[in-house]
Amino acid sequence: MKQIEALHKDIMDACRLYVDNLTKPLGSLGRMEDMAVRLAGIFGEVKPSSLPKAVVIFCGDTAVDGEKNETKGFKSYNEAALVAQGYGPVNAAARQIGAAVYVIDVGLEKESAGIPGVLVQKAVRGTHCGSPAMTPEAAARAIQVGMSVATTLAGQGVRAAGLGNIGERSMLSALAVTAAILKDDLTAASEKQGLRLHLASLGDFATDPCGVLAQVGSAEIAALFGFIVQAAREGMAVVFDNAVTGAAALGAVTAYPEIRDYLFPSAVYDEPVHQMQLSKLGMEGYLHYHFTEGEGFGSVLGLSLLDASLCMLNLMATFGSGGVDVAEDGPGKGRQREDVK
Amino acid sequence: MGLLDETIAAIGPLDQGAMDRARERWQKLYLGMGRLGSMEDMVVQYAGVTGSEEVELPKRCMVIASADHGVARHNISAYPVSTTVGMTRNYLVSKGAGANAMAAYCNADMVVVDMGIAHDMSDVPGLLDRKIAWGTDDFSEGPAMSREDAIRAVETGIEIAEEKARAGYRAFLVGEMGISNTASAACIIGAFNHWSALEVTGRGTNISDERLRRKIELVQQALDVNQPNPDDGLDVLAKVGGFEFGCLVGVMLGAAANHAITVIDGFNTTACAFIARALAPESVHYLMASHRSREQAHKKSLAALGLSEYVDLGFRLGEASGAAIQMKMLDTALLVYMDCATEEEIEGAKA
Repeated sequence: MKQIEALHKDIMDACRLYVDNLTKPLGSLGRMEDMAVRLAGIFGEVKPSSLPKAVVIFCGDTAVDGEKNETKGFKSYNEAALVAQGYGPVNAAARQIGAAVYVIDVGLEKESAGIPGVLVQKAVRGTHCGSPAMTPEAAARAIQVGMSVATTLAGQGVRAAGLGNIGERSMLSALAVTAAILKDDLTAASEKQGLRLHLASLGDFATDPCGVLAQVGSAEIAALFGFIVQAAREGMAVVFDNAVTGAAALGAVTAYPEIRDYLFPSAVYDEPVHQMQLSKLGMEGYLHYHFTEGEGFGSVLGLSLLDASLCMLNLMATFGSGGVDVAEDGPGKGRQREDVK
Repeated sequence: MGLLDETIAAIGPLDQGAMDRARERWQKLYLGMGRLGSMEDMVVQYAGVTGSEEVELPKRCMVIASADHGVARHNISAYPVSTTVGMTRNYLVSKGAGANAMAAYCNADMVVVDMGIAHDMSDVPGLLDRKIAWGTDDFSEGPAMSREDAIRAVETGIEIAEEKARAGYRAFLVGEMGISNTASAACIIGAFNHWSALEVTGRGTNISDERLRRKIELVQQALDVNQPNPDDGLDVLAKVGGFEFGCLVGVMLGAAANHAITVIDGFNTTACAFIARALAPESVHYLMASHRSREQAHKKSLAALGLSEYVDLGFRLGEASGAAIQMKMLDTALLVYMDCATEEEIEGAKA
C-alpha cells in the first residue's frame, strides 16, 4: 500500500517565496496564496499549471428501518437519478469548471441498477436505525469502494477531487460519526456543565475507523472516508463541503493526521455539526452563501477557487519581471526582491 | 442638464416584476435536497438590474482606474509613490498584475484608465488617457481637487460604462490603483458614517505600526481640515477623494443607468459606493458586494450600505480581485438558474 507522503516542504518554501514576489503587496491574496502553496506541496511542483478535476458523489441512506423513514428511499433515489443524468445544480456548476461528476451508490435503500450513469457498488441497502448501523464487513466494503474510485481517478490524471453526498437522513450519521470522533471533547464539555454525556460505548476512531463507521456511520460516509485516505496516498487534493463530507474528512484526519494537508474546505454552512468539524480540523470555509444541504455543490465552488489560485501562480509577473518597485515598509520589506524570478 | 445629472435621473428602482418572476422560477427548479441561499438572491438581483428574468451570462468588463494622491508624499504606504506607474504599466505591458490573473479567471475584458497618474504615461499601449491632473492635491491640507474636477472624474466613468453598455456589457468589476488611496477611502467612509480616523483607517498594503500611526493622524487631519459634507457626494469626493475613485463612482452610476450590475471589490470601491449612493440613492441596488477585505472597517462599511459580502479569502489587494471571485460565483448561480430543469420538466427522469 502507498504511504501518505508528507508535503514537499522545500517546494512549498520555493513556491511561497515566488508567491511573495508576485506583483502585489505581501500576502494580499490571503488564503488563495496558501492554496497555491499547498497545491505545490501536494504535487511536488513549484508552479503547478494544470488541475484536472472531478466531482465524486457517494450515495447511501441512513436508518432505513426507523420510524422516520417515510420516503422509503425514493427521495435519494430520485436525486441520484437526476444528478447522474446531469440535472442537478452540482452538474451545472461542474460543467462550468470542466469537471466530470461521478455518482456511486454504496448504500441506497432502493435498487439503482436501472439508473443510467450510476456506478452501483452497494455495500448495504441503507443502514440500520440504531447501533450497529451495519456490519464491519459492509463498512469495510464501502471504504474499499471509496478507495478504488480514488485509485481509478488518480490513474486518469485527476489531481483535485470535490466530494459530495446523496442520502436520506445522512445528517444523523454525520452527527453520530462526528460525536464519536469528538467524544473526549464532548464529554469534557458536558462535565464542565456538571453533566455527563455517555459516549464511552463508541469505539475509538483513530485506531478503529472501520469499527466506528460500522457502529454509527453510514455507507456513503465510509466510502468518502476511504476515498479521502486513498486520494491522499495518490497525491490528490480533496475539497470537502458540508457536514456529511466533513464527517469523512474529520475521520480521515483523525485516523491519519497527515491527510489534513491534502484537504481544502469550501462553503460555510450554518449547520452546527459542520462548524464543529471545521473547528476541530482548524479550518475555515471561504464561501458564505448560506446553502442548505447540497450534493457537492460547495465542493465544486471550492475547486474553482483552486483554479483561481493557479491563475495567480501562473499568470502574474514578479517584481523583477514586471518592473515594479518592491516593498519599502511592512513585512514585505526585504522579502520582496527584484532578483526573485 | 449635464451628463452626470442625466445619468442620475436615468437610474430607477430595480424591476420588481422581473425579480418576482425570477423568484418564482427558483421555487419551481429542481435543486435536490437543499436550497442555494444567497445564490438565489444574486440571480434575483441580476434579473432586477437587467429587467428580465430571462438571464444569460453577462459580458463583463473589469475597469481599473489609476491615479496618484498628493497625500502619498507623507509615506503612508508600504510601497513608493512610483508604484502607481509601475503597476499601471504592469496591467498593460507585462499583463502580470493580480487584476490580469483574476480577469482571466472570470473571463473579463479589461479597461485600464489613467485618471491622474503623476507621470507621463503616453508610452503605455492600451492605456485610456483621461488624466485630469498629475495627482490630487494633498488632502491633509485642503481639498484634493476642485468640484469641477470631481464632476469630470465621475463623468469619465459614466462615459466608460455607457460605451461598454452599448457594446452589450452587463456586468462591471471595479478596481483601482493609487498609492495611499486607502487613506482616501478611510476619509470618505469616515465622513459618510461619522466614524473617527482610528475606526476607519487600516493597514492598506500592509504597513508597519509606525506608518499606520502617521496614516491615522493624516486621515483625522484631512477630515478636520476639509469638513466634507456627507449630504453632498461631490463635496466628499472633491475634498478627500481621488480621481480614480471619481471614475469608479461614474462606472457605478453609468452601469445602473444602463441596467448593468457592478460588482464592487474591497474597501476602496466600497468607499466609491458611498459616494454613488449619495448622488443617486437607487444606485446601491445595482451594486453587488463580493468579498470581505482585511481592511478593518470593511465589513461594517458594507453593512452600512445594506450590502453583505459572500467570500472571505483574506484579500487586501484591490484591483477587483475579490470582485472577480464573486463574478465567477454569480456565473455559477446564473448557470444553475439557466440549466436546471423545473420539477415539472424532470418528472420523466425520476423513478
